[in-house]
Amino acid sequence: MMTPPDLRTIGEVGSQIRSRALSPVHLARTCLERIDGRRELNAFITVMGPAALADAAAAEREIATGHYRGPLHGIPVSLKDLIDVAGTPTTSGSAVPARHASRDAALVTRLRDAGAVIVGKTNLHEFAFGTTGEESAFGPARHPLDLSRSPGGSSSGSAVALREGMCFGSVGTDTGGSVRIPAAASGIVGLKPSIDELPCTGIVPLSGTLDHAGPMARSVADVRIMFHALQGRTGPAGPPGPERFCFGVPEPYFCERLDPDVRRALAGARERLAEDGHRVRTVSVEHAARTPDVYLHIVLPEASWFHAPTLEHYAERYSPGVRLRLEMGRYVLAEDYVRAMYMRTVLTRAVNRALDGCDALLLPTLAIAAPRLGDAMVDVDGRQEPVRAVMLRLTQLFNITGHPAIALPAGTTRDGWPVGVQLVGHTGRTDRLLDIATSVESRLQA
Amino acid sequence: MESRSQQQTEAWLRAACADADRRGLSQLRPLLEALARSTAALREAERAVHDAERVAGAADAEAAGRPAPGETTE
Repeated sequence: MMTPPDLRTIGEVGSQIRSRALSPVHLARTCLERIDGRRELNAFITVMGPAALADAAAAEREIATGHYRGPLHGIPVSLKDLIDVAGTPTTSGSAVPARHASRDAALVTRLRDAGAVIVGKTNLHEFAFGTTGEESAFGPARHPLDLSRSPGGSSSGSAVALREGMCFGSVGTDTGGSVRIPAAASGIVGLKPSIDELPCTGIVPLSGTLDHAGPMARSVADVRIMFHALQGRTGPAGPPGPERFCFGVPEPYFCERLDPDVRRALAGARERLAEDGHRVRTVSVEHAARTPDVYLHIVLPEASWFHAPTLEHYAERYSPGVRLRLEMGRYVLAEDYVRAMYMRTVLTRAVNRALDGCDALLLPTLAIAAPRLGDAMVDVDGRQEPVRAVMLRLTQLFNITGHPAIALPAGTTRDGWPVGVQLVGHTGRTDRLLDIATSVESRLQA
Repeated sequence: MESRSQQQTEAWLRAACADADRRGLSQLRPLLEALARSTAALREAERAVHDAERVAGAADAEAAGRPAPGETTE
């Protein structure tokens, strides 16, 4: 019989590892068994079993000699398979020939410096160019609650791995919501930091000016531990004190077309925060309705530029949908790309104005629950809409503007599907956003 | 009557579809049509922003470090 997943937090197992009550080798082996035992979920593309056990044994020896590196020491983590690990292929979820990295990505070096144990590389929507994970040369990652559903994407395997106890933290990438969307669909926590806060060196790009790397985990505290390690920071973070915050809920555009259960979850969150003495007010983001147009005219040409050489030689190896999106980018005029970049500055100022006087924006992460794999259209409160557009709608603005944003669980639909809320903070103040998220998480879990 | 911008978008769409057909990518047609609608919306949004900025003294355009289209700089 399959053992239940180990869903403890990094904080919990980390303190046991530090006191030597828990063996990193045992922990890594448990995660590897869990990966092997649920292969039907297709969460991983490459499992690094022998290397993980060797790294865990090294961590165990180091800790035994009194050299404890910090809260990630000996902790099993995973990486989206867009991220280079020396000596393993970076497949990007594609049948296009993989990149064979001779060195680790900058973020992987930092995780190793923090003592993390890398158990493998997770499945994703091909080249991160999609929101469901279903276009992967390795088959789709599947939602643990129902194999016919998507766990959200593009960092789909990372979300599944966390939900199923196959690792304790993961690193994803987020160009339009690819960390936050799977976090919402799968009931975990995902952080997109401020733009350029984490280096993307050694990560296959989708859109050079919209790409963000970000940590995923099962709690805000764990995401904070991962984030600090990814920044190369050492030393424990002090817990935030109790504080009253002001939240702005951007109702126009962001709350107009939502699944009724998502709307209910947002209303519940809003009500509970107000009950606790936080201020919650309605705000608006000017020009927000133009977000998809601005996004499209940036992501398409930037992705097409990167893939142009590969499209010349391996066009037939791309998934049909991904290939067509890349081909579409070749038709965007230069003046429209520049126009979109100009509108980016306009939208950035608009989000800053919406945040003025608030600590964070509060909005849903995803307008729907986990969609069925293969569906092109989805019903949103009685109206049929394209799945891809619906899934990106509430997240992509903050890739355009670079504001930090975090997705965290906010209960479930009446059918038991996870629903998330999103908090958006001031640029460059990601730690402050994590303080706020800690407070919101504790209230929403109560 | 169609605006000049609409005519430009339609001409662009015809050329893009013809090119896609020539390259054996006729499946791109619906995507290019959607892109054309999005491009028209983007251009309209930019025009609206500039109109508002002109009314407000173009302060925002200066802050963005870019002259409004049609403005000359010495």
